[in-house]
Amino acid sequence: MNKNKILIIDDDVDLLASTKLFLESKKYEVETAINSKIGLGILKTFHPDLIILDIMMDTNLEGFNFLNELKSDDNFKETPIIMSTGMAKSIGVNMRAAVEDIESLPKTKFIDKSGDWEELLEAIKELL
Amino acid sequence: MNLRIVRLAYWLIRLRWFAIIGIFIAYYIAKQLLHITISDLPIYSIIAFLILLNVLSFSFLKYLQKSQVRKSLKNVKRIINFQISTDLIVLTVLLHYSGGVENPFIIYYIFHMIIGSIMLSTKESFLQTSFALMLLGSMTFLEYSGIIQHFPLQGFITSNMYNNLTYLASTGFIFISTSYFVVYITRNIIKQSEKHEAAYLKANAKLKQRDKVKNEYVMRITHDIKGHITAIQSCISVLNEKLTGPLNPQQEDFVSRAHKRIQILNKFISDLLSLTNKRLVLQSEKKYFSLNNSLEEIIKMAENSAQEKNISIIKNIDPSIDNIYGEPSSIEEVLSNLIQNAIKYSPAGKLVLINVKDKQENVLIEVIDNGVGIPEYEIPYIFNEFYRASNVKTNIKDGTGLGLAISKHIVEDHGGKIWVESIENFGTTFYLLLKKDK
Repeated sequence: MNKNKILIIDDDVDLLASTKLFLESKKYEVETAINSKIGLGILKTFHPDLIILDIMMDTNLEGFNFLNELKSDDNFKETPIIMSTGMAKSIGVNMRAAVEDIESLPKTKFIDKSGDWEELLEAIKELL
Repeated sequence: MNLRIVRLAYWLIRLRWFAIIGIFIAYYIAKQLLHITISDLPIYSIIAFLILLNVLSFSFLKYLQKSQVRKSLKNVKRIINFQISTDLIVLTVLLHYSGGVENPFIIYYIFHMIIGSIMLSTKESFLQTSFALMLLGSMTFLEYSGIIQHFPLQGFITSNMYNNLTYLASTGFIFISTSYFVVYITRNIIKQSEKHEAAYLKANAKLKQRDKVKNEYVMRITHDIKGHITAIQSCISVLNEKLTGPLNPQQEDFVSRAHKRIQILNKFISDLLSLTNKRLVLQSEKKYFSLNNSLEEIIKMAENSAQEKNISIIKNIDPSIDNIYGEPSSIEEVLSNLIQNAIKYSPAGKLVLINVKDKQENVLIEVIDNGVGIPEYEIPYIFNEFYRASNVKTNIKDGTGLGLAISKHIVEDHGGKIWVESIENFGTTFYLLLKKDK
């Protein structure tokens, strides 16, 4: 059976490196990108089964812009996405409502970036 | 200020209802008990006129409040001026038909002057006072000179005073000086209290602004710290999960310690962010949602930690309870906090009981455990930020002391109440009273 492929886009290199190791230990094939531009490049050659996207990167809109590009591309618009945020839950921002303005997302999950891998793993299993 | 004047306008209308009843009672006592002759028709007409006037003023005031036009405030002031003027005229007419200047109720002019001074500007107050004195003066003069008829209070005033010039002059002097003096004093008192109120409002606004700046500051810093902490936790997890190869027992021990501590710290920061944010965003999105579904969800999430300690969660929800009004995720946070606490502070094998009772306009939620309990002297403090009961500090290390502070803030923002009863080493019950509707 083929390994599931995951692309992580986050502007925190330390988080990228450690999460990559963890997911690889769980038998996923992982690529990382430090910003959405690199992410879009990798997307086309890597064809991930799932994307983990940090919504609030350097600029607040970066994640959302990436999402827009993704959804306008027929090859990727069905790709499930885990959107991680610095503090969605803790500050009570309704991320889903914020994104639904842009477009309906078929397979999306929102998680708080907490460094808690179990939560991440559960979200991945749920979407794949 | 704006609201104060509207409140006063309603107050004036209420006062007038009392005045109407007062006139009726005074009339009844004078006529039936003291056997004083008073003509009926004018009194009844005046009472009817007052009732009509009051109903009209009330409707107009309601209309103004609804219309929310900018001019409203000016119009409310007009209503008050109009009411006081008409009241003075009505009082004069009433007095005219019941003895004129001989009627002791002439003192009631002073009431109107005081009421006017409370509600109106200094200039308006003196104008109304002069108007009152002019009305009284005219009536007295017209009765004295015989231009209009004098209606004596037969059976009450035995000798005629309305045509006694010395009496009229001295009474007039005393009445006029007292009137202006009373208005002057009242205006001074009102001005003082307005000044205090303005200062108080200003100070309060300043405090709120400062609190907001502080909260925003805490939030920004906390958020920045959180990014680093999350990355550290993730990196330590790599070692803790032995993803880079095995560790020797001592390395494993220390990595595990570091990992635990960083988890606690991360939780603490999340809580702090949450609390600060709840302070900043007062108006959250409230709607009707199913309390039962929310509870099911939370219990499902709590079941893992409950099973680890062999704790059973039992839920009794009154079937009549359906939707309640509130911000679902906040209320869920509160319930989750209480239920997780109950599990955390219970010894293995115990029960956690959740009762949801129908209390007419409210629902009462009880979260009952047979855990370590809270020492009695500490109960008043447990909803304070960063407070942790002394007996749990030593037992359980992963609390942040913010969960209950957040819960209390949420519940109060929803107009509800949260409180606790506890016996140390026996158990704790948290009560949560939430409104069903807006």
